[in-house]
Amino acid sequence: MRGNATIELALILSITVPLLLGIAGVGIRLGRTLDGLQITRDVAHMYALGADFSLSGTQAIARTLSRDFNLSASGNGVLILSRVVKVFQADCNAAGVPSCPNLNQTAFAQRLVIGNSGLRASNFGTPPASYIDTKGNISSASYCKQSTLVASGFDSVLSLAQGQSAYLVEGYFSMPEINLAYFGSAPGGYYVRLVF
Amino acid sequence: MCGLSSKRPVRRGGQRGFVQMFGALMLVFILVPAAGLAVDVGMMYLVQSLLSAASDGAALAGARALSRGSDDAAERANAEATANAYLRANFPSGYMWSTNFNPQSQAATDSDHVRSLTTTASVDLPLLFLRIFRTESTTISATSKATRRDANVMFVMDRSTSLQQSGSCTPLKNAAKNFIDRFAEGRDNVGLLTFGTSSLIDNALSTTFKTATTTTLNNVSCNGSTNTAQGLWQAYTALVNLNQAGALNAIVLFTDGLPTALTQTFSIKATSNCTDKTAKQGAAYAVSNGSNPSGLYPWVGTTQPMSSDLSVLTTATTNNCSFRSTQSNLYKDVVNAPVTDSSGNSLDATGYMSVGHTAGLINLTDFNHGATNAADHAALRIRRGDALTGGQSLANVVIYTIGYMDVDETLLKRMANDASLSPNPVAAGAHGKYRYAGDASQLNDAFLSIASEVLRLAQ
Repeated sequence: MRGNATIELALILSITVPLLLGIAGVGIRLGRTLDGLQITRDVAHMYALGADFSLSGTQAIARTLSRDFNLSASGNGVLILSRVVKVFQADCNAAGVPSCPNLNQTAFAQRLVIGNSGLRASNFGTPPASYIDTKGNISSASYCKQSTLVASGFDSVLSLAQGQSAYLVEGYFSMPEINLAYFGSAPGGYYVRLVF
Repeated sequence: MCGLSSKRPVRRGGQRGFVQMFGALMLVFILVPAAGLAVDVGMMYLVQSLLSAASDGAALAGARALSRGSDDAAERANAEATANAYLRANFPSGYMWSTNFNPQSQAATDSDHVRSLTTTASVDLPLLFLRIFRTESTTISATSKATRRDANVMFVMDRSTSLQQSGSCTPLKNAAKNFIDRFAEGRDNVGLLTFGTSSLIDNALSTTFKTATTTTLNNVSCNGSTNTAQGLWQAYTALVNLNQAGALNAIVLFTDGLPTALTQTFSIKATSNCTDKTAKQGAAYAVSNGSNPSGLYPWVGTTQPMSSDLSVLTTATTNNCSFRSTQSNLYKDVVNAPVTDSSGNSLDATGYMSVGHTAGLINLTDFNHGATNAADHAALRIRRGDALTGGQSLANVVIYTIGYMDVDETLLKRMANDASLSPNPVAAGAHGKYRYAGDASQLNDAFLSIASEVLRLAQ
């Protein structure tokens, strides 16, 4: 009977240790997921209320808000900010594009990226850099006619009224070291999308 | 002598398998429930967080949508539908196996000039481990509220000759119409003032403004100089008279150049040919500094919209004045320029441009600089909420400026109190925004940007 206790303990530990590790992993992952969601929400809220995230000072605020993630060019998180508009005729007329090729389509009017842009691209497409100015803005003359500026798939998420705009923030947060759970995004990371 | 003896603990049958049993009990009664609790509570946290974020976004979007519609009822219906759509967009159906997602939104009038949009969303989340306590699911809900202040906006539009010369008059009018269309008819008050050498409130502040302002803008001709100070002060006077301190009061100034014109009451020289030597009030302009001003012109328009203001004053009091035959001969009739214009704006107080003085008056050759300083001073007085002649005033008026082509960007940033200008020697009152359009294709974007700023501030 000698050694029985050791064997029993080993058996128990073989179950409890993975279980405890799993709980810890899920807990840490959950915490970081909640942090990613919160930073995305905070930035989306500020963006919708007029914060200018093309300014380095405002981007610094976003980085400060992000506790668990590094929103630098080589960091482990990225926020993709887009303002999208439903193109309508009056907008095209005012922009001097009466033919309005993108009429009734949802197009990008602004694109800004904070963090490591190499981690993930937007689910709705990436506007060509040639149409984006230093403030991230895309002119109405461009988004009224350039097909590459249409936000593909956005209408299936949200149908905007003519002339209405929406503030879209997509966040992706890489956490390959805690890939014990899966929260519906690409392996190793958490993707969240909020429309304000 | 006693020998040493040792006793080995005797393991009794009742202790056998104790660790196994203890471990099993711990697993069943502590670890697994703890893990289950962690998973269930974690899911609840995650769902609550996303639902809360979704509700927040929906409330803001709904409040923004209060600008769309033909009347209050339509605007509220739009806002509620928009908020519900945003809730659905932000909270995916079946997220974390949730069911019975129930988005609800309610628009309401909180006070005379404030409306709100409240969103409430709830969802049933099935529980995985807590079922052992006979709890199959839990209801999670989130509520958010966003308010929107009504906006009173006086749009002050430069319609000077240079706009016609650059072919920008029509693009400007299109962009202006698109800008005005962004505001909520029935709630927001929007007025239109156009200015050249003289100015006129073509459309008074009104909650039914879209058709009227569109008609006016279609008929505007671009002609005249740039009497910015007078236009700004007239716009401020209109907001003061409306007297709605609870709303967002804003002036949006569009201009394509430096101020060149002023309205003043000029003293007449003893040597002037004017038959009547009493002081004469009128508008004058100088296209560049160093040259004498030309004038005098009527300073307030009478026909709507102003199509031309280049006919000099021809009243009986101006008989034989030199300026009546040749506008540039104004200097033969008038003494130097008074230090303030007819609206009380100072030609030298802010010191933005240098001006020379003679006997307490501004040298006529510095008239152009004086016009720039007067516009700067008018903006400062408006932001400070200075009183009108009758004593009424209005605090917290926000000035937005849109510069087009050859403008002095520093001046327009000073006037708007734009935060990007630091330090701003005339910083006072609320911060507005300055936007620049380099050519006609950028006009619409500049206007939309300012409309967005005004509407965001209204939230």
